[in-house]
Amino acid sequence: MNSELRPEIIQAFFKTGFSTPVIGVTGGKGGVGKTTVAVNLAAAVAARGRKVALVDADVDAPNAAILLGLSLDNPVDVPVTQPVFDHQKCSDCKLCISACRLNSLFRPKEKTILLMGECNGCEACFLVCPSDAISRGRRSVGTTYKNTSGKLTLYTGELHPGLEESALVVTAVKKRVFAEADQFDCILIDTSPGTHCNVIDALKGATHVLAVTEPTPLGAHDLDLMLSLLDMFKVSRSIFINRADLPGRMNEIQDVAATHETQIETGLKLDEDLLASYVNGVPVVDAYPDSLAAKTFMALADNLIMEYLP
Amino acid sequence: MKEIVILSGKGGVGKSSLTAAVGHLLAEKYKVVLADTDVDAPNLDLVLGAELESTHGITASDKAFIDYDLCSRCMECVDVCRFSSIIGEDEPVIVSYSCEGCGACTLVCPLEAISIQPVENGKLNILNSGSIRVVAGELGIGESSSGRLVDVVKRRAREEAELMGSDLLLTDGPPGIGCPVIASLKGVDYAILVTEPTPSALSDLKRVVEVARFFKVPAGVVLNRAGLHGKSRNAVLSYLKENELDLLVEIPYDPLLPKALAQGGLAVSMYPDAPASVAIRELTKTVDAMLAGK
Amino acid sequence: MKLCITADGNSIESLTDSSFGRAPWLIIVDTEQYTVVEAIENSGVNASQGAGIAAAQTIADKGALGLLTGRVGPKAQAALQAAGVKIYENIGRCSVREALEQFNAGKYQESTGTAEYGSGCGSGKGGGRGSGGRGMGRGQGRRGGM
Repeated sequence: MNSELRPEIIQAFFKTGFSTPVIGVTGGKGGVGKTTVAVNLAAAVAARGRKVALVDADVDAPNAAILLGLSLDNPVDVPVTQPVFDHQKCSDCKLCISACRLNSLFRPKEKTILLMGECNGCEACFLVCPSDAISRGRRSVGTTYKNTSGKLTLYTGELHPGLEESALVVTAVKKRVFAEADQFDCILIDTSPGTHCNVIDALKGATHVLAVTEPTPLGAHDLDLMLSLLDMFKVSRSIFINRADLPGRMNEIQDVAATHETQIETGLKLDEDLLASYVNGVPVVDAYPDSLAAKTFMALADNLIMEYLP
Repeated sequence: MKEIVILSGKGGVGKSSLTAAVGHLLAEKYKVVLADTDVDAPNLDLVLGAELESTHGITASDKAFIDYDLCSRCMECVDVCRFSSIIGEDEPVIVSYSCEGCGACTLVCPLEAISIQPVENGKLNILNSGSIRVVAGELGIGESSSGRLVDVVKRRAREEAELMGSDLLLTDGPPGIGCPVIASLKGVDYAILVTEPTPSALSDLKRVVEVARFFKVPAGVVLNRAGLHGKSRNAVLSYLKENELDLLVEIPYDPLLPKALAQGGLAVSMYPDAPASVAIRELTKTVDAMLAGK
Repeated sequence: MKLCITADGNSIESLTDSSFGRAPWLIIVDTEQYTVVEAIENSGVNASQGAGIAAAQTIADKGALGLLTGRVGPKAQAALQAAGVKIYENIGRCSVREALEQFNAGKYQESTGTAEYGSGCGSGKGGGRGSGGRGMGRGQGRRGGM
């Protein structure tokens, strides 16, 4: 992707239509603790009496509900449009076959069109059919859920295993929460690992992004990629160093941070309390409020509240 | 030539480290090619300390481009895009990171001002670590079509394996269960699924098992950091038993693993008697037996 | 009969190619005459996706009754079956002529496994995987807990 994005694209990235602040939690590397940070930060903000929406946009493997000990309720299907062919009306022009850039349409014999491959719902075939022989069917690619527990509402997006349409599920869960954004004092978004387009879609609308990393060579490498991505969109960001107990490369993290002119917000070691809360599905701020981990998250919440919440 | 992919569902459970370690040990006996298909964040070269031999740009993505000399600003394309990837007030602007290259916009443009063109969305890196050949894919920041890039990596890795007369292609797979994971699974003989004893990791393991089963790839499980949480460990073992999945090995939590990594080396080389290293060698023996048996 | 053989070049002396969707050439031979009816350069070589289905379309359009190649993926297999094209896999790495000789000598068995019609999606235990003959080929699989 061009490192110089057109201003319209950057503008569109930030435009939300509401004033509720959005905080993205992302990381690049898998397993650095994004969800742990997102969940605990959300719980901390809720503990301060603010209404917070937590969005689990890691649709391949959404785990926020597990860390919160919540079930997944209020399912809403995420559909993608699929063509349905009326062979009676088909004029055998074969325009649909050439219009489909995924080569998904197959004509075994005259006036018979079958959908044999992947279909992402682009509707190119609808556009070219001269005989009105294609109607819009649908296929489920995932589900979004919504659960409320006290001041915290969890929105989850989940892709059906075996499918490829993660992007559609991310868009759907964001749409669901953004439609209700005015109900909340703050929206937190937990993204998937990586720096690909689904991460960008998850972060769209972010007022500020927390880049979670760990002080290892892999962590530093992936933080660099993540910050480069955030640089493209000129998003306000700071760094959270998780697993600060791991040996070695803290100075590399600091170098990467300096290169991207990014502050290190705070850090946290993995201790027994945090681990226990993780495996038991209770946020550490609720399970062990006096622990160092809980205090770190409460302090982080206070900073973000002061900076971004009205 | 056999192909094995290492997946996990959950990120950060030790896929890359394990791939590197097993590859390193098997290279004592076999000609090994390693493929890094975690294209978002390829780390295999870092873990192995591999040297870059060559890098090529890869165009495995298609995007829409507007020729503004031809465009009449009718804005028909904006409404037709199902991926909200054309925006703009005065003139249409393609949001390239979310453009799927489907071409629907080209079909409605009255002046043929839009075309779909291939774009470079990543790099293919060839590296060497001792006798091991590494083929790694690297997705450009913010790019899409990671699945197609994985296809390119695998194809090249297979070519390298053929050239070398290699017996084994070992692939470090991506996290998650989406498109790039599916691409990494296609055509492999076996999937090693790495997990750890936590509820999150188990949940993700179940999802990746479903995907592996759907594509009819036989799979076995490695339990990393096995002693982390007893209750979760039991949950994992029960799940494996109920679903007739082989437990290939349990690797104990071992601080020497991250220590070796921080020093830029592999624990199996630097600390061969460490409990984790012993377990990894046991896993390697199991894989060796599989290769010999099949 | 007309048989399609995947190859590296456009003549009967060219080497066979074991991939289906990505083979450089699709050669239609007359199995009795040992002649090349038509050699088609495979545009699917550079296709982003669906190379197999695109190649299957070419074969169906040319009226070939059989396909001899290395391996056919599930989607292309379903397409070929829908078009009534018989599939023969595990082609030897030799000339197209030699492969045809082997074919006529009965060396290749027809691949008759049931293609997962539109497989690659709609996972979930049992339910939702379309079977051959239904129009849409996309299962509505729901995620089943394992």
